[in-house]
Amino acid sequence: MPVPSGGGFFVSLGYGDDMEITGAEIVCESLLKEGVEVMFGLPGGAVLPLYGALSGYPNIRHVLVRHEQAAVMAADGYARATGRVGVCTATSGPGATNLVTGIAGAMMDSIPVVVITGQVPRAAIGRDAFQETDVTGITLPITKHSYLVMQASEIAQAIREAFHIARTGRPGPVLVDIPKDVLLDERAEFVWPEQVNLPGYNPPGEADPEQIARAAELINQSERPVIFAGHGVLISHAYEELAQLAEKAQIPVAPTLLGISSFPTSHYLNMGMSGMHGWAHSSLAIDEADLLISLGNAVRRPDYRQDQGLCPPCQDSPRGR
Amino acid sequence: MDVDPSEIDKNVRATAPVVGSVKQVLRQLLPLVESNVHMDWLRRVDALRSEHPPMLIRQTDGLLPQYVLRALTEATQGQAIVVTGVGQHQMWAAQFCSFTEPNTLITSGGLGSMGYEVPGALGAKMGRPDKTVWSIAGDGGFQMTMCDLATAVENNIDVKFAIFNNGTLGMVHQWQDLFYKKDYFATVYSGNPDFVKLAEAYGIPGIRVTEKDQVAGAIQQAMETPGPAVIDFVVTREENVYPMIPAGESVNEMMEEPIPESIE
Repeated sequence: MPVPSGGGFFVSLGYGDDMEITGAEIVCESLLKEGVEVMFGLPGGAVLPLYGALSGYPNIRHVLVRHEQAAVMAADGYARATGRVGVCTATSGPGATNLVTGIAGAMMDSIPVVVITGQVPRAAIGRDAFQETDVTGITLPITKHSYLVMQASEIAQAIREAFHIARTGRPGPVLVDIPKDVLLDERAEFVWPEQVNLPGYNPPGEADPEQIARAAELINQSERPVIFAGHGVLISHAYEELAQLAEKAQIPVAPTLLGISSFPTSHYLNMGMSGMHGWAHSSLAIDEADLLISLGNAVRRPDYRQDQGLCPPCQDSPRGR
Repeated sequence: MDVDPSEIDKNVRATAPVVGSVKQVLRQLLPLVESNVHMDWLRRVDALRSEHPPMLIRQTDGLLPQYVLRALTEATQGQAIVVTGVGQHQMWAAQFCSFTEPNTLITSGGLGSMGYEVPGALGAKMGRPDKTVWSIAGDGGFQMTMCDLATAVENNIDVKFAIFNNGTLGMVHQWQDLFYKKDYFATVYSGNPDFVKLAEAYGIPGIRVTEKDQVAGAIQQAMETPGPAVIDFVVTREENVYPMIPAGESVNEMMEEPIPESIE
């Protein structure tokens, strides 16, 4: 196995704490710490230092794509299939903007993806440099969080936090933008933060027992309940629990498009997808239901919008604040 | 019930909001839920199903996408990972494919990005090399990301690509049919490449299917091919996805096909 030129290998083995490595090597060491086995990307000038380091990390498999949109969508597909964080990389400017559709898709569907982009050198930022674009600005509304890392010594912390934010709570894409000179010229000690401390970011833990009790009361009183099973069932690995709820109280299940594989198609309580192109009996059952049990479901389809006078079970509590 | 409090009351006002991850919430909830049978209600659901039977495919000489998808799900016994693009083929996959395990239907739901089916399938196969992965594409979406067939070849990523080739942007075509006086402006693709030759140009076996009796054999052949394979299913153009509840309408406005006299 090739030894990274900057000595990241030695740091991993616990050699002296005076060992400094490049920003690019810190990225690679951080990805190893996160257990990343595969990433998808396409190199370019600003991100090339990272590729220079990656070649020395054979345990991180890099899949070269033909267009950056494929890098982020492949990372997204990897994440959906495995439940792990997908990773992709691209260069600055057009490389970064080619990621936008894939990042937006990951955001809409709550997919944990960490996107690492090269940025023009710090001194060139804001000067319309070749292949410069403000990717953290462009992706602000379509990322769960983003970083512009301006010091090599801050890379490990940023990547540690990025993975934490991407996979916890409601998952989503996190972008880490690193200027070329921070990857290439700056050296720092690789210090992997053991813990993440993000004041103000506290994904919900145990649910409020009063809310649970109220939900249970409604379920127990309901004569015509339907479970509206969404993507959150899959994201939180609640496959077994969904089946237990459906079977215990004999409640038919209408999965959403993204929730389809949360409940076996052949299960006798599975009505199939409802909605715009869902099976008729499933949509009609929702129409006749007296209780919709929405599980991790954005209820995004306009079909269920109360302000259009639809979905009678929802009419008991008309929207309005 | 949602882990993201901002989802509560966003589109539908909740009578009883619960904030938490679905798994955590269900674990807390399950002991409080009483066993029930809901006999009358399940009977009513069964009656609705009998009145509006799902999964029917009308008998016709043409090659229907629904027929192909049912054959595909039978060949894989519902155990494959199915990665779709966006549009008619996506909805038919949701309707006609069976799933037995979690995270096996992978699709761009919220954003609805055509072209997701090619790279999304490559990523899924990289993550789950133990699973058969089918990329279910329309001819429109496939052409948005088909350059990454090269990525499949270079890395020998064993994805089977099924193109549902109707020569149109099918779902837009359907909306033009139903809501825009059949003015099929800018939805007919008359310059599509020969997808079999295209696959072969990448060094991938390509199979063209135009008849029903070729479907099962082609699927089998693709699955027995080591590495990626492409099937170009030339399907009926004038085929709409039903049922359909028009955008913004209620379930009372649902459009359904008449129950066919003879079915496949």
